[in-house]
Amino acid sequence: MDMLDNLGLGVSVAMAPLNLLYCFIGVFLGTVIGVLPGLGPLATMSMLLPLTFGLPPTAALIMLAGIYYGSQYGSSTTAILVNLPGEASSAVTTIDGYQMARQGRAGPALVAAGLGSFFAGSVATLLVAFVAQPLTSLALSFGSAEYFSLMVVGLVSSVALASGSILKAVAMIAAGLLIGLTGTDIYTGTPRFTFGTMELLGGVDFVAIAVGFFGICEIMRNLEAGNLSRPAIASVGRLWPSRSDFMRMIPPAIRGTAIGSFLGILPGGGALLSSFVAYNVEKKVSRNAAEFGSGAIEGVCAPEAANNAGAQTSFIPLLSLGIPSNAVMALMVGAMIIQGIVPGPEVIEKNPDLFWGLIASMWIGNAMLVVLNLPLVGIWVKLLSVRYTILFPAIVAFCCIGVYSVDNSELAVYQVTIAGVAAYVLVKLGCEVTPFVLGFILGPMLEEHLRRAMIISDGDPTVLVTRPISAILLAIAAAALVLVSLPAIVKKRQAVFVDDL
Amino acid sequence: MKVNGKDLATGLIFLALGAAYGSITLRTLPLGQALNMGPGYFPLVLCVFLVLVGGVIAVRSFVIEQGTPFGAIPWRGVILLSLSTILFATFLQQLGMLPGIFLTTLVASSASSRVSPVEALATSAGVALFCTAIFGYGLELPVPLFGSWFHGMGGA
Repeated sequence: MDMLDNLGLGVSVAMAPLNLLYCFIGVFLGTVIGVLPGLGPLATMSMLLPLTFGLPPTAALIMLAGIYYGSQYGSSTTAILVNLPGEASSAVTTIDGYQMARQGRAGPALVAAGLGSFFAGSVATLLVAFVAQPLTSLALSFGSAEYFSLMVVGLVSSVALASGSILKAVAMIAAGLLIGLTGTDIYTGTPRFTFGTMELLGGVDFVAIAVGFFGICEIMRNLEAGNLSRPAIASVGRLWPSRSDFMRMIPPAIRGTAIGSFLGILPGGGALLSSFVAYNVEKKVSRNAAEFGSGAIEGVCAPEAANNAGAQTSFIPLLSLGIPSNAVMALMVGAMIIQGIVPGPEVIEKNPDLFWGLIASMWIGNAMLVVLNLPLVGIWVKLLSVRYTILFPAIVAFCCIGVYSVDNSELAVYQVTIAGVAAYVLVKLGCEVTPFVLGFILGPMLEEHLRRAMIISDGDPTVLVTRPISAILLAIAAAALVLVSLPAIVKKRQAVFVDDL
Repeated sequence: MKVNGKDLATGLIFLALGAAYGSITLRTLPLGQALNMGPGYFPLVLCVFLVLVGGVIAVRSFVIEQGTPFGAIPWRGVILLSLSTILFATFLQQLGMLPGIFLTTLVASSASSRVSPVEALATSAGVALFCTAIFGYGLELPVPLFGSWFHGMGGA
């Protein structure tokens, strides 16, 4: 009953004209930019982040979430029609999606991706509504020791699920934590690592880091790869799938949704892992396994359902615990903090309209996307032919003015330059940037809870392992680290990400 | 002896970062003790950790197999893209919004040899107008349309 009241509140907030408008603007812009070759959700969100700052908090987060799943839908279109995944999570979609497109069956592939995503989004949204609140009540009983341990789990999982070297990912986390501490120490007011500047007292600019890492660095890498020519675009053909296609879509959509919903909740999980696992599972259990790789509709539907489900359920740890489980959620936390909302279990009590409004808007946004993406796919196809040589200078300029506009700060733009070059070098050296971003966001919170826990326990560090929940969480973190270091798992882990690409 | 150059460089970078920030911490921030941590306590822990992990990565680079090569560095792209953002930050007030964005886009365009001059000019003009419309008129960003360098030109 309570749940219905809450969802009712959410729907009434999400249906308010202003929020509905920003939800639409979000999914629309997300689709437009996500369709552009080479631009995934992270780049899209970082680029458009500054535009949301002028809005009221609820509208801003609704719009940002809309941009996120909008760009995911858009990226799938690109993956299917031009064999270019806008982001890693639609990389598996290209395998069978593009094969279908080459056989003139791009339409059914797009429908399979769109409807699969919508089904997954609807189920996952309900799941968020049902799971987030109990989890929040649990989290409200957490003390600082538990929070500290919870964040450690979040950070360790981002290592476990990263695709590269574990040692490098651990180092990236530590570096992120350290850079995240820049600014005024909250307990003593002492400036730290500000190099004598006033502007760094507020910390290193999160938007600048995001734009540098996911915008500028990405462009440098694309220029290096040299795929600048106009991509070959498959024609859409007949849009609607046949009856047998349709029947074949149902089981993978359900399985993909289940896998994605589960993996999305795990810290460090989310869309990327979900789509990879769903594809590999589908390949094993499907009756049409032989067709995989040469245009099986299941191979499009399952990962697309999974990545959308994972995208939605990764909001659960964010909304209930305040823990971002992946880089996209880290961007959401950044946006919340800039809006003056402290992410954590208090959000549901202090801002119920934001909490439930955001959840309800996810379903509305997904419904809008089906309408936007399927009947109007012809419009997006035209966007696919925009050449990267025109796009990338525009992105650079847009990033500069966008970052500048947040605080009218030149220093923020210089930070973009530094972040972009640093990220480029590190990525070339085989380091992943996501653990850094998570560390950067969690750094100040991690330190605050550690210090508070130590004060409460009279300086006794064993408090972290004598409080049961904290001990369990730390044990999970330790087990995860040991597991991913085992040689057998290391091989499997590489296989999950490399297999079939 | 074979060395995995990429790993060696990675390790040294983290080692240097930890050492640099560690020395700043030790020189400027009170550490306190575990009961009442000072502003330097947690950073120092992180720095020591970074130095250790960086050291391990660097040492390990001498014993593990060769990785993929670093590859050629596209200097032109990296330098010109960075330059375009630096120019934007440095001269935005003097140039003003319209010329500032135009210049930034133009310099960014030149980062790729595949962009023809005509294409670059057209893109830059379009982007400048578009961004000025959104940020100047839409979001009312307090940056003059034309900056101080253009004052006195064209009369007033």
